[in-house]
Amino acid sequence: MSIFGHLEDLPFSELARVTQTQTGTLFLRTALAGRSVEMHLQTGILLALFVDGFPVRDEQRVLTIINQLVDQGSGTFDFQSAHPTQLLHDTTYWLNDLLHRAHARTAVPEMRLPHPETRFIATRRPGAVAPELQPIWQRVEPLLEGGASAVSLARQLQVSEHQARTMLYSLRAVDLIAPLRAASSATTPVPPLDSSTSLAVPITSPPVSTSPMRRLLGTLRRLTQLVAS
Amino acid sequence: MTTTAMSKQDTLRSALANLRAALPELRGALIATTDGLPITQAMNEGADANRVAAMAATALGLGKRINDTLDSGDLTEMSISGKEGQVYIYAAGRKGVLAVVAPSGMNLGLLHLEARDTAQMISEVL
Amino acid sequence: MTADLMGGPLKLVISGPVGAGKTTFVQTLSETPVIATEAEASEDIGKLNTTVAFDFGTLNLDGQELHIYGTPGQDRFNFMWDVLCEGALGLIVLVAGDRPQDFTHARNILEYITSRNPIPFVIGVTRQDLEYVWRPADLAVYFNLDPLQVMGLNATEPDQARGLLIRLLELTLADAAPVQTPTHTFSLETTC
Repeated sequence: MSIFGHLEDLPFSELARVTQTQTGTLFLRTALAGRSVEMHLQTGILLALFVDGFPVRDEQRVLTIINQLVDQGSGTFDFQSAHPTQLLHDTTYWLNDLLHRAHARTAVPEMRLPHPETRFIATRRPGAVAPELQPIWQRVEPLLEGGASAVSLARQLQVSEHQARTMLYSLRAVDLIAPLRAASSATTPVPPLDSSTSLAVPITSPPVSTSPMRRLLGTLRRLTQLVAS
Repeated sequence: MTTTAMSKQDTLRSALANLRAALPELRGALIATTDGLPITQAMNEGADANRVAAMAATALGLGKRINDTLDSGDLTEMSISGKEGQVYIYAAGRKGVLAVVAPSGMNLGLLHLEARDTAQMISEVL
Repeated sequence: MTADLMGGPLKLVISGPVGAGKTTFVQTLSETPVIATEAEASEDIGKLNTTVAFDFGTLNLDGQELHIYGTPGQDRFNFMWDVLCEGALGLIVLVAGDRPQDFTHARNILEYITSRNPIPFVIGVTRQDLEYVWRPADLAVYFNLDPLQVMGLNATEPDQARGLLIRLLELTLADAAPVQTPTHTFSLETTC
């Protein structure tokens, strides 16, 4: 068991993102005012949804459940990997699309909001922005060039810093924006989920010269091999 | 809150008030835990008490470490001086820190006298 | 560039939320006794003491000195994160794999530091010795990072602690000289 926690600490929208690469069943034990939710997922596709054991198939109802999970989901969750053949195949919804359409209306706890000075830029995500997020996206998107922080947005949009942080939180939750790192020269701060695992990671160049680091690396490798063998 | 807890806060608050009354030019005084949380503060407007508490704890922690390494006994106080003011940090018992922010040109003898007394009083409460 | 045979010490910073294992990691990696600046915790953080300035350890490898600094974990000490990261070769952010309640905080720390400091970094997911623990691959998705940048370890194991540092150096050097393709990627992830 390696995906577990409380929705209060890891909100549903973020949890859903983590499960996008996984196949299995997500159990949200008391997610909706004590009612349990069970989701059969296959790499980002919602195959089946149960609330207190009852299946939910209708799109509007599914969307409502997702909305509620984003807004007020609480309690423990755990994910159990499974083979696709072990899962029920009731429905076929892209979880990410459902999330896009579920816009969080309740207040986000302070500690979950990004730091006021963290700067964000747009990610290279294809596809349209859900209508619920349009009002925010339209206001924020033009200001993302070069990186926008809650502090700068508050000033430019004439909103409170808290509001700006909440806006950035919502956009970040659906991967429309991502944090900008200080020395990054790339246009995207993070690689897309399906990037090949080469060593061409967008990591910043070191401010120190490289030859002492190479020597250090060489020595560390030798030291660790010696002990490990 | 128990009656004892209430009077602890009151004692600390009046200790700071007395300190500021004795030294009216002070820019601020603050009592924090050694792990950087403010307990009571009497800072001038615009000061970030949370920030000052954390920094005072860091400075005191570092000071104690240096003192230990140089075998100078228990750390009592330290100062950080700038062109336009100083911060004096006093150990207040095992778990407390007193930070006093002063403008430059103050009567240091009087300041230390008052501040050390206050630190002693704080150490008895905490 | 001058041909300095053995330059000055290199600097490494270890950060992360309270309870991630920073002080332990510094102790594991350090050859010299770790100088800690701790104070008694006034909050319930699950342990007696907490770092208020930094933990300092050293490692000397073939004449190359490495200074290792562990930062405090609480937000109120974020001014120390900036101070300590200056001139550092890299940052290791540790997060306990059995504490999903700290993931957001770990991410906030990472973002705060890296948005203000141009510093290479890797994430270390500790407590991998436990059965019920988040795995690095899933945390890579959470952090939106390349999986190579998120590595699991048991912070008390010297080989694994060094393995994380090796990964940081490999990734940093690979980026600094993209023409060179390393002959292998050193991996110390044990399978149970």
